[in-house]
Amino acid sequence: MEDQTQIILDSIADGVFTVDQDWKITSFNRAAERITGIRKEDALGRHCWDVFRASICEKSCVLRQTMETGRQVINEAIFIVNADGERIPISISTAILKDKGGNMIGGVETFRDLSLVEALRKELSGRHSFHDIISKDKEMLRLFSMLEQISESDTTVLLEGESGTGKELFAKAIHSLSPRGEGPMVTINCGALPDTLLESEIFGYKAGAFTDAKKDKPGRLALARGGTLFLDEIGDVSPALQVRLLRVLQDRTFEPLGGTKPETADVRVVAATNKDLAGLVKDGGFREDLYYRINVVRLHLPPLRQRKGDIPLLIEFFIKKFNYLNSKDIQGLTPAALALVMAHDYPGNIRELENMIEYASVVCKDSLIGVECLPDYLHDTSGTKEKCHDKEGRSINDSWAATEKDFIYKALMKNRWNRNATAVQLGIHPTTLWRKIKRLNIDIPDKYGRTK
Amino acid sequence: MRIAIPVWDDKISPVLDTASKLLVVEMDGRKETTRFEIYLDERELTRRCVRIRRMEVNTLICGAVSRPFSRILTASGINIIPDIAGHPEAVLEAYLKGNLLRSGFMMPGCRGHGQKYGGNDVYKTCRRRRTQKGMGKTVSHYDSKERRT
Repeated sequence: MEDQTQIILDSIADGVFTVDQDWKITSFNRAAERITGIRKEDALGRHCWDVFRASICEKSCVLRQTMETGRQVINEAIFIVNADGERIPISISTAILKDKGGNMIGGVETFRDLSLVEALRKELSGRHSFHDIISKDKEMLRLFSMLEQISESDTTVLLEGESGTGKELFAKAIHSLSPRGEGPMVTINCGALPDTLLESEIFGYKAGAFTDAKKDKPGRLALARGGTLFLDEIGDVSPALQVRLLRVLQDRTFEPLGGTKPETADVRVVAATNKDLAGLVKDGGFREDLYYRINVVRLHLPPLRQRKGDIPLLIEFFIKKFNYLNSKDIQGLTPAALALVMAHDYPGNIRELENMIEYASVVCKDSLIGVECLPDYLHDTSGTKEKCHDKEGRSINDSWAATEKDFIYKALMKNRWNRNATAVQLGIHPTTLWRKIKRLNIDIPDKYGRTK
Repeated sequence: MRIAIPVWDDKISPVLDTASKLLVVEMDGRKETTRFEIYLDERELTRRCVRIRRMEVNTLICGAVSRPFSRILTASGINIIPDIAGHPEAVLEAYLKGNLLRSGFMMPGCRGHGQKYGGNDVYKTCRRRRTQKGMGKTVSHYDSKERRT
């Protein structure tokens, strides 16, 4: 009979081992040997923690919990360190072993190797990221596919988008995908430096070009040779400098300050702006010829409020990042906190969301970020109440109430005015639905409405 | 010289990556001069390594350790003796006498990740204890020899 049991155990794809009341291993099937890398002969009679080497052995052994409380544990995800020192993700389930008289004689643990599942999960999440840019938004995916084509050529690219939409990440992706990927990528923020300084930064200078110019200083154009020059905030460049940049783009040459010979500009230029360059051209703030020179390929990065579906993905990414940086173990957001985060408009785009999660990661003491861990300005909508109006002139709150009323009314109608069914469909409690009906003054036909 | 051992109750922690307490023993030759315990709260491996390094540990005797963590520790100049199980005091004594690997303190199936200790190659020592029967692995040189005799 024991042989039969062993044959059955060995035919199971999941690892199975049993322990006695002293935590010593009494049986160990073939899958357990395969997953742990430890032979049955070596495992039998040894303490389970020396064989199983799980992340939870020390602090929260589920088999101990089961043997103490009698409650089974099913599919808890943990990792073990196998005999080769590899971390193997597994899911474990535990139960009590009893003899014929119903007395506890030990425990049984079954475990499943999740390495493949984990690899597939990584593969899937990889589909939502492209060179550190995370998105599953249709428009962004279109831009990702364009990036690959654009990168192959040396064409100048203009990236347009609000502040915090990831223009620099796009520039980096273009650079690393291009044949110049092995070369340097040099970034300069045109809005951060005064005009004269910016000129010497971009073009460099020769010794004696001005007082204190004691030796040659190569400019960013020279430093980016063989690579990519990323001109951020190009809309802030002065008209005089625009002329010099135009020459670089037209003739692929430049002269350092105080220089007499033109030098070749062997760079690919990627420019970015958060301004409406076409509008600036109309107003005379930006040279038309330069605009058309840099506007060869234009990519418009959508703001976060237009791709709110990416917010959960980005939150997951930032939580992982700040868990790593702050040694935390935050798993996610509570539903209420997620609703609040999703409802925000993000004028600062992804940078604002990142800052928000960083703040929450510092403040949060639990494994889930609650509403109380989010920045105060998310709760305080009073400041925007007066400013935000919809097309019909209603305040945002009135407009929201009208939308909610309409939404609930339609859901009720669809469910033949059955409030329980409607509540289930909307994913809210029937009492919440009843309160909303009262607050929003939703009229329910007499024959259905018990409140009338 | 400082020797560190991750401890859990009266035994060596089974997994260094998640161990919560570290016993640090300072030795002057073979004489113990001081000892203390620290808590390892760091979950992230690099930070955990920095914490151990700050204790100026020369040798770390531990249970199982994942390869990534083992590499980080070794790169930090810490000598690791992995795959050791048992009572910390007995392990320490065996280590100081130079017969740790011969005293039955090895974890089952240990391979030691190629770490060297006192002229003994832990990898070889452990491989000698393993036969690969039924596990789809190559039979080691030591195993073949043993079977022939």
